[in-house]
Amino acid sequence: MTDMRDAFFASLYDVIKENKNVLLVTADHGAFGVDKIRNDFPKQYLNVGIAEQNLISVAAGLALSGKIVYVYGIINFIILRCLEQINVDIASMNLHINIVGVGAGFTYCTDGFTHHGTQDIAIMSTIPNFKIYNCSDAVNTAAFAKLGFIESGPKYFRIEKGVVPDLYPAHFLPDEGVAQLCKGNNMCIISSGMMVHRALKISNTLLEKEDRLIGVLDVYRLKPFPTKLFITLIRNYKELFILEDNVANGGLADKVCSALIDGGIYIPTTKWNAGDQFCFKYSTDREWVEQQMMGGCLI
Amino acid sequence: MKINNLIRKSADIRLSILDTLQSVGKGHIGGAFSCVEILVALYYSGVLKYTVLNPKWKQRDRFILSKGHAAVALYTILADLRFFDPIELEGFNDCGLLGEHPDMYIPGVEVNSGSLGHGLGIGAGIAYAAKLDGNDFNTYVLLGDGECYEGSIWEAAMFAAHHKLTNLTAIVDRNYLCIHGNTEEINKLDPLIEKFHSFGWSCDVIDGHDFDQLITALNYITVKPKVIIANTIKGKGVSFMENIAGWHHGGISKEVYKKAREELLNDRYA
Repeated sequence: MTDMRDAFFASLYDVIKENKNVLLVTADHGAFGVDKIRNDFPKQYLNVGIAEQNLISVAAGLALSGKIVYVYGIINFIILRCLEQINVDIASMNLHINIVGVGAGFTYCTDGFTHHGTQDIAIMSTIPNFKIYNCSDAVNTAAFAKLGFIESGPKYFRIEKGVVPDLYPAHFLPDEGVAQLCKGNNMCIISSGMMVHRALKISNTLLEKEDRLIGVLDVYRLKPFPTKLFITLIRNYKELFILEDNVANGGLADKVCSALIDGGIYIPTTKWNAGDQFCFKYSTDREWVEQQMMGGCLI
Repeated sequence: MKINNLIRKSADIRLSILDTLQSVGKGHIGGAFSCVEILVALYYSGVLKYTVLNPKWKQRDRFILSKGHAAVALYTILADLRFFDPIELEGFNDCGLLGEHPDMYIPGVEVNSGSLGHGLGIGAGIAYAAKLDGNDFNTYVLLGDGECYEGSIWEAAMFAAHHKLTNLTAIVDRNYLCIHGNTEEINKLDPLIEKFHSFGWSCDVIDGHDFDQLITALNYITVKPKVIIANTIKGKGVSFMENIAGWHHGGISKEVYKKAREELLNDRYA
């Protein structure tokens, strides 16, 4: 198993190695894989210092000059801090820039709310032209790094650090936006990102303890939402549960409910999320923090 | 173009701006009039390299109107140069190509602007890419002085100096007026030149309505990114608009139009 962040930058390393036109730009945020790119391809790496607004504007200038740009940083700092730059300098000009945000949900579980990525999906969902991808294992994380090069236009990749079991086969292509990881009988948990692993844990536990087969869906492309395939996958379920480590408003649940309306179907749905609140719980145990914020839905 | 012709061109541009704004009854006339000579010096004196027939020519110099609210001044010049049909000016803010702030879908406009504090960072990115690729074009960014309150301007200033972006020139339209008054009464910007100097820029302070000074400063080659603090008069050319903060965005009634036009015509044929 590979660390997800390493998987992204190892994949990006190959892209950068083959394409001199690709740049990685940071606001002084690092990672093992970032260091490798910086050392081996110094002309394709740029650190603007802790200046996120300028990070985005400079990236826009580079992209206007024909460069394909990956900007990297902690989610809150490269999304919330410089939202207007993202909106005006990248999105409104439809530039080929990939924002790579680390720290989805409670990744930085000891660092407090300033470092928790629980609002970014809602915020970025309002921005035209942007696509939003949420990584759930090392395989799709690596695939997203390549997608950022192949597909033009603005994209936002939420990546994780840490190691989780692979969910997807090595030949995975991120075309469909949603995958059914586990087929259930009557109930299905819809999730995204790291929460998919929590959903699988719930599903496995209920299978072992109560012999109930609970479906699990991973929505790895949050925008545009893969409505058509999603509706096909959930149509026959009797009850849905939406599990996400985002704030109560604007996240996965809103997208699912919107898709249900678009699909013209009604299925009783329960929402599990981190609530309309900031998190002042601190622990090195991420699951403990998640349980504090999300109540009893997590096993 | 010779200096006398540049002066006449500036008068014509102001008359045309007034006509355009009169047709919709209002607009950002103060800051448009303050930067007319700066734009005329860039576009008509040979400073900017561009081709009208190919606005996306790879080796063109880039001009970014970061103070996007002065778009009507830029539009008037782009129309005069035939980047697009001057008839488009008649549709300004009226269901046509041209809005109050510029966007890159207008021929000759490089970037979307309207929100302040973005242009210098974008210009720095373009200048950095040009150096990386060995291209020798220059990037010029026109800032409002009030825009220099934005922290992003100073993030970009630091970046440009660090990377020795000698191919980047910022021009500050220093008319001293924001929407609600004098910059030195709202939140002191001066000594603006010392601020840029301390950030590692080559600095020049000139009269932003004097073509000799403008052209000399624009053509001056430095070993650092360059900022030209162009002292200007908001509403320049119309006595009752000059140095009045309220004319940042003003209503152009028939009476205002008539009086302003008379003054601009007198200036044009003086």
